[in-house]
Amino acid sequence: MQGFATALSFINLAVAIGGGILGLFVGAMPGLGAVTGVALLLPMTFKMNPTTAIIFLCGVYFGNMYGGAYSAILLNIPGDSPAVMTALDGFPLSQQGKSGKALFTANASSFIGGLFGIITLTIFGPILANIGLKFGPAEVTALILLALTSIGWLLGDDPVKGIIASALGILISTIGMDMMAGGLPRYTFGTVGLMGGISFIPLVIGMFGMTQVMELMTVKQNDSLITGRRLTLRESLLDKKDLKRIRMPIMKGTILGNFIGFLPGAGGTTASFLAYVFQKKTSKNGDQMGKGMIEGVAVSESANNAAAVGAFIPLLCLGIPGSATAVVLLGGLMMWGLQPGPLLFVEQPDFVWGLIGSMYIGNIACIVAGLLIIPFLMSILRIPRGIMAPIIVTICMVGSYSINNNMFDVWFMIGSGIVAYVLKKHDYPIPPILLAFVLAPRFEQSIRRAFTISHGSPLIFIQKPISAFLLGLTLAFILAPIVMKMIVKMKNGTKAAG
Amino acid sequence: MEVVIVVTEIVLALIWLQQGIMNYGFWEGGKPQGGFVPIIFALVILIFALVITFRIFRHKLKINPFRFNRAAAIPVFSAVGGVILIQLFGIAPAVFLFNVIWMRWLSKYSWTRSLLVSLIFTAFVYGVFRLWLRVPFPTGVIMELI
Repeated sequence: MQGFATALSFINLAVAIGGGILGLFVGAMPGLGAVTGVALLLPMTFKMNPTTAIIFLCGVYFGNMYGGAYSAILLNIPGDSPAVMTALDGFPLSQQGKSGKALFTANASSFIGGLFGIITLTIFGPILANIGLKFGPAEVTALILLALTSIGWLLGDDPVKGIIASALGILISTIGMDMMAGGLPRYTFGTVGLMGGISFIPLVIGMFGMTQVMELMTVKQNDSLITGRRLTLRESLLDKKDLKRIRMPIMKGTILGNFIGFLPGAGGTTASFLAYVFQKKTSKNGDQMGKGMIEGVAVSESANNAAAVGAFIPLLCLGIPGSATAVVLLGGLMMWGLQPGPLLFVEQPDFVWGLIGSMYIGNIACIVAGLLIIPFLMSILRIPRGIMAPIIVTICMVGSYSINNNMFDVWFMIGSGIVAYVLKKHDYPIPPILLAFVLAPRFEQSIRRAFTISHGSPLIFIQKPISAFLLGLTLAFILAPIVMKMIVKMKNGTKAAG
Repeated sequence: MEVVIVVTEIVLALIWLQQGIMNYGFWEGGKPQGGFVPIIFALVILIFALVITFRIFRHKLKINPFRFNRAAAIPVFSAVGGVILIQLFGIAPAVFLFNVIWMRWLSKYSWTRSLLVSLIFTAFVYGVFRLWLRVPFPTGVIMELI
C-alpha cells in the first residue's frame, strides 16, 4: 500500500503514464528499441528525484516492450531483439489482413505477461533472486546452448540450413573486441569500422526492413502492404475462439518468461525464443507456426514482457542486471546514489515499493494507450506501396545511423539486407542468424568463464545439477527427432515384412 | 546460385578457422582463448556446408532456380543513392530529396503529392530523431560549403 501511495502521487503517476506512452512510440520506431530508448531518455531524468526518475524510465521500458511488437507486426521490422519472434507470425497475420487481431493479441499478451511478472516481483522477489544466483557460468552456458541448438533445428524447413544460419550469426558476433582478452581486436581485418563490433540494430534493420522493401517491390498485384478492403476495428477484436486459442500460449509464455527473466544474464530475447520453441513443440498446430498464428504472437509477447519485469528481480535484489536495458537502469540507480541489493528493500522501502507500485500503473497505461492507437497503426497498412517503400527505406537509413551516429552502420545495413534477401530466397531462415548473434556473446563469456573456473575441465557442466539437466535436455532435443524417425522407419519395415 | 552460397560459406568458415588458429588461439594454459568459440562454429559451418555440397552433387537438394528480380534491386540502389545524398546535403535535406525523387519518378505521383508527403515525413523524422531524441544530424559537404 505504501508503494501505491508513492506511485499515485500526481508527479509519479504523470511520469509513469507519460513514460509508458513515450516508450510505446520509441519502441515502435524501427532501429531504436528498449536499450536505446531508455539510454536516450536518461538525460531527461537528471532533474527528477530518484524515485520519480526510475518510475519514468520503467514506464519507458514497459512501453518499449509493447511498442517493439508494433513495427514487427506491421512492417516486419522488429523494434527490438525479442520482437524478432513476434514478427514470425505477426507479419504474416498482417499480410492476411489480420493486423488488428495481431496487435490486440500482442497488447493483451504483453499486459498479462507484465502483470504476472509484477505480481511475482511483489510477492517472491527476494526468494527468486536467490534461486537466480545459483545460475553461474556453467548453468548460463547450458541454458544458452539449449536455445542455440533449438534455433536452427526448429526454424525453417531445412535443419541443415537452419544450423548454418545460427552458426553464421555466431561468427558475425565474434567481430570486434575480445573483451575477455583485454579488448584485443578480433576478426576486424584492419577495418576501423569493425573495431566496435557489429551493431544489432543495423543488422536487424537490414535483414528484416530492407529485405521487406525488396520483396514489396517485386509484388505486382497489390498497391499496399495488405490486400482488399478497409479493415474495421470491430472485426479486429478478438472473439471467443481467439481468446481460447491464446489462453494457453500466454500462460506458457508468462511462466517461462518470468523464470528466464530473473536469471542473471538471460533476458527477453532468450525468453521469447524459448517460449516460442516450447509452444511450437507442444502445440497441436505447431507446424503452422510462422505462417500467421496468433498463438505465436501471444507466446512470444507474454514471455518478453514477463521477462522484462523478471529482470528487475536480480537488479533490485542483487544488483545484477538481467538484461541490457537493466544495465542502463542499474547505471541510473547508481547515478542517483542507490545501491541495489538485498538491503535496498530495508533501507529504501519508499523507493522500492513506489517503483513496484508504479509498474502496475505503467502496465495499465501501456495497455490503454496500446489499444487506443490500434486504429491509427492499422491505417499505416493502407498507405500505398509507392509512398510506403521510400518511407521504410528512409527509416531504415536514419534508424541505422542513429545508433552510433556513423554512416558505416548504414552501409552495413544495406549489405546485410542484400545478403539476407539472397539467403531467404534459398530457404535459409533469417531469425536464427539474429538470435544467435544476440545470444552468442553471452554464451562465449559464460563458457570461457566456466572453463577458467574449472581449470579447463568440462566436468563442471555435468557436476552441476542444473547445467547437467539443461545439457541432457539439449541432447534429448537433438536426438528426439532422429529417434522418432528411426522408430517410424522400423515400424513401417515391420509392417511391410508382415 | 546455391553453389555460390555454399562456396561462400566454406570460404568464410576457412577464413575464421585460419584466423582463429593463427592469431587468437584455441586453448592455452588450461583455458579457452579468443579463437575457441569462432573455431568451433566455423567447423560447424564447414561440416554442414559440405553436407549441402554433397546433397547438391547427389541431386537430392531441389535447386532453387533463383533469378535476382530487377524490382528488388530498386531499394538497394535507392538506399545507396540516399547515403550519397546524406553525405552531400546532410540527413534532413537528403530525406526530403530522397522521398521526392522516389515518389515523383519511381511511384509516379504528382509533384504536389510528392512534395507534400515528403515535407510532412521529413518534419516527422527531424522532430523525432533530431529534436526529441537528440541524434546529431550531419550537415553534409555541400551544406557545409554553403
